Amino acid sequence: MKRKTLFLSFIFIALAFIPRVVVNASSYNYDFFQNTIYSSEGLAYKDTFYLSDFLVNTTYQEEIKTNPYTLKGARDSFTAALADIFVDDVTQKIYILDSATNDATTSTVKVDCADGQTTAKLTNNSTVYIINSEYKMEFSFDILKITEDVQETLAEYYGVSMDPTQFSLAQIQSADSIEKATRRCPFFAASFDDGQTYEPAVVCYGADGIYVIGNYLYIADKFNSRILRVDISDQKNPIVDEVFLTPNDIIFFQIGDVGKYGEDGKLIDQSSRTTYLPSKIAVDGDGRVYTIASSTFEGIIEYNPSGEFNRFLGKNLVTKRSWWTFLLTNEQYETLSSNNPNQFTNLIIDDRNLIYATAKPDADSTVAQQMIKLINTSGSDVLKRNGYVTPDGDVKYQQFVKPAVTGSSIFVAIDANDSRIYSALDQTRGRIFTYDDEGNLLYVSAESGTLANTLKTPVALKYLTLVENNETHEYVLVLDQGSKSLLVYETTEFGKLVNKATSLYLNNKIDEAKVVWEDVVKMNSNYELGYIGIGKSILRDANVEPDKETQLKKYKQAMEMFELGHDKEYYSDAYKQYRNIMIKDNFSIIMTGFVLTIAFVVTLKVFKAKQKKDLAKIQKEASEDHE
Amino acid sequence: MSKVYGFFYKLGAFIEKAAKKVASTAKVLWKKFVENFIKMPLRIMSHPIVGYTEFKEDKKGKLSVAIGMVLIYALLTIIRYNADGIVINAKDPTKFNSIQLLIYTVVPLIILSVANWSITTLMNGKGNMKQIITMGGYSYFPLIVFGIINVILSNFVTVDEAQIITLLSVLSFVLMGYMIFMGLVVIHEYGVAKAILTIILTILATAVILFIALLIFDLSSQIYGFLYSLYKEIVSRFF
Repeated sequence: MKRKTLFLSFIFIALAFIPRVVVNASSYNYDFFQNTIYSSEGLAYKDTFYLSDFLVNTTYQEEIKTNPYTLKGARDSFTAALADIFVDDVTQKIYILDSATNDATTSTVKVDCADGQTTAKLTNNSTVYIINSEYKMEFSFDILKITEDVQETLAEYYGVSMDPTQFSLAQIQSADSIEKATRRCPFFAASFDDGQTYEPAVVCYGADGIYVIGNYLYIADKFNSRILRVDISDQKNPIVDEVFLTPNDIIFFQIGDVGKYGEDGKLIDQSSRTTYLPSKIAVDGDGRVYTIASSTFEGIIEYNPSGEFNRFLGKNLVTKRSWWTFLLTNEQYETLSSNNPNQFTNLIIDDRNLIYATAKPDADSTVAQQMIKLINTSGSDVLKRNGYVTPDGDVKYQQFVKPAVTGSSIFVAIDANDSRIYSALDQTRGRIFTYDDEGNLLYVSAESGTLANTLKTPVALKYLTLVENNETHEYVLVLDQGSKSLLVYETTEFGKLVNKATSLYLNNKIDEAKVVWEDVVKMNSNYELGYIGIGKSILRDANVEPDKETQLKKYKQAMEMFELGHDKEYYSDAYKQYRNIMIKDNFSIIMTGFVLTIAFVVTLKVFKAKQKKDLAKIQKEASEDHE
Repeated sequence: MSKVYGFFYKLGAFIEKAAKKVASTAKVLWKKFVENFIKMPLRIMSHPIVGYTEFKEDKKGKLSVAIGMVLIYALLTIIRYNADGIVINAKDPTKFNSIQLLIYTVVPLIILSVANWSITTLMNGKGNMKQIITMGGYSYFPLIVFGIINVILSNFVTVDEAQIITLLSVLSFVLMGYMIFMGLVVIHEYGVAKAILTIILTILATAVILFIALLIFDLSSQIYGFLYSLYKEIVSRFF
């Protein structure tokens, strides 16, 4: 007996300590209680394209054909550093920006100097690849012609005369290499027809961002501290027709000894050096350019269409330091990291001219939050965060324990589509988080690793919608800097249904959305958003239902759906109607019961009092009799 | 035939007798329950000085009742975990742990009572350990009453009306605080200022107790680790 009790109590105690199952699948979601639960795949891996797959007509491809063994390790031998990707929805062309390209696309550059000429092979300058929707390269360019206006602007800004032959040969040769010298030149003479003629041109150095709108391609030429607008209406002959230089603001300059060239072609001492490093750009329909600059904390920089600096937008806020820092001495205080606002990492502009921006998590904040922002024209954050979890990537993650990947998600790229669905790319764990307009997490996809279908160091993400054989395919392109490849993810059947239902609901087609949500729930019965979608439709139906009994039934159904989706606001809406009807219908019964109960209680009390009185009377009489 | 009738007669008589006995026992128990679990706490709440004096001098406060109160409250907490309406219930049913809930109800009472006793014995408090624990148990009464009201109400309210439930639960905690405060004043025969002082000291003593408990836990696990490594060393060296 005793042993049995012991055994049972042991089991009860053991039950309390059963470890919770941790989901480690690539596809998961968070439920109302912020538990990690299994979910269906929203995006499925489709294909990987390495840079060598695009380079159709280069010597590298021929080399592979003649000697296949060179393939071994060849992919890593590329000096490429893929930086950004852009998809033009109209022409369905993919633009890939490579910060530093391989040896296969070296260009010959003539540097004209005051005391002679020198010809240089230019390597490691940034290249733009234009790829069609079949993932074959159409064109690429690295050296860009400039118009006379641009040449004038640059010459004025850098203080050199119109004639590029102002540099002395010694000046260039004193630099580490000729390539470096050309980069320091604001522009130089380059030949596009094998040395026949020379034209003023520029190259990009460490370019980090690219954006295409209409016939214009914008490149953030990071280490040259400028943004170039390239006219690509004639694809074979791209020409820079506008340049956006360092904004005329004191914070972008640092007093130093390098930067400008004097009239005599020598560097001016004690000039102000620009520290402006534009990395990601976005352009709205009116031609205003928005850019994020490295180590600039004031927010997003806005230029007006004519290239002048307008203002800063959407500054991130600083988290307050812990109160105990006042205990520190000055020396100790200086060892703390500077308390700057967190930097933006990427941005895009949607069709409403609103900016979706991603920012790094604040180091001083205990919870990683507000990493995705939707910035309106007045610079305030208008993103809705109504989901079970806020749109900040992973909610549960290891913070200290190695060898697990520690720390919160860090978003490096974002893209949004017409139905206000947006996907953000997390570099920490190589995941793509897709959210809807309300901030609900729709699905999580992709994973990190070194395999062909996993992400090593993802840097950019873009949506691509293609119509093939009357079928719409929704792709997500991810550029991986680590494996130097372009990964293509296709939206699965499940993902398509979710997207469709979200977009239908956004367009107020709630009844059509219900049908789609029902399919979603059939595929994944844990998908709580689906139940809310169905519930909303039923609730709307019930409000206009003429038949009372059916109406009641529908309210009840809606309540069940909202209970499954843990949506207490909508549950209350449905329940309020249900309760009103129930009270109205049963008012007579409830009221009768109430009145009867009161009557019964009162009668009972009166009766009991009378009984007591009678008893007392009888007792009194009896005692009198006795006497 | 008569034998059969006789048997039934006897059986009937037995059942009648038993039923009468059960009924009378139930009546006595019910009366006791009403007296101890409802009337006494209500009396304490309405007339705290008189109530607690009776509680202490006339021995009307019973430890068994106090333990019963705590257990009822623990049971209520366990029931509320799942029975609360979805409008106010944000608890994960997969994380339901009745043992944990029981511990969370009982342990604070014990620790606070020990802390209060250890302070008041040094400060000329007249109450003993039993009285303090009993008083603590009785103060769960408003929590139980309003808890029962809330669990029923929460199934019939919408989000806008959920404020009522918050109001009621705040009220219940205020009443509990009132009962505890008056209880300390009467049981230890303190003035108001001294009672407040002992309450502050009790909180400090609780912190000390928790600190020591954590220290013991940590040290014991370290000693275990040391002994285990010693055992491993010996085993791998000599065997």
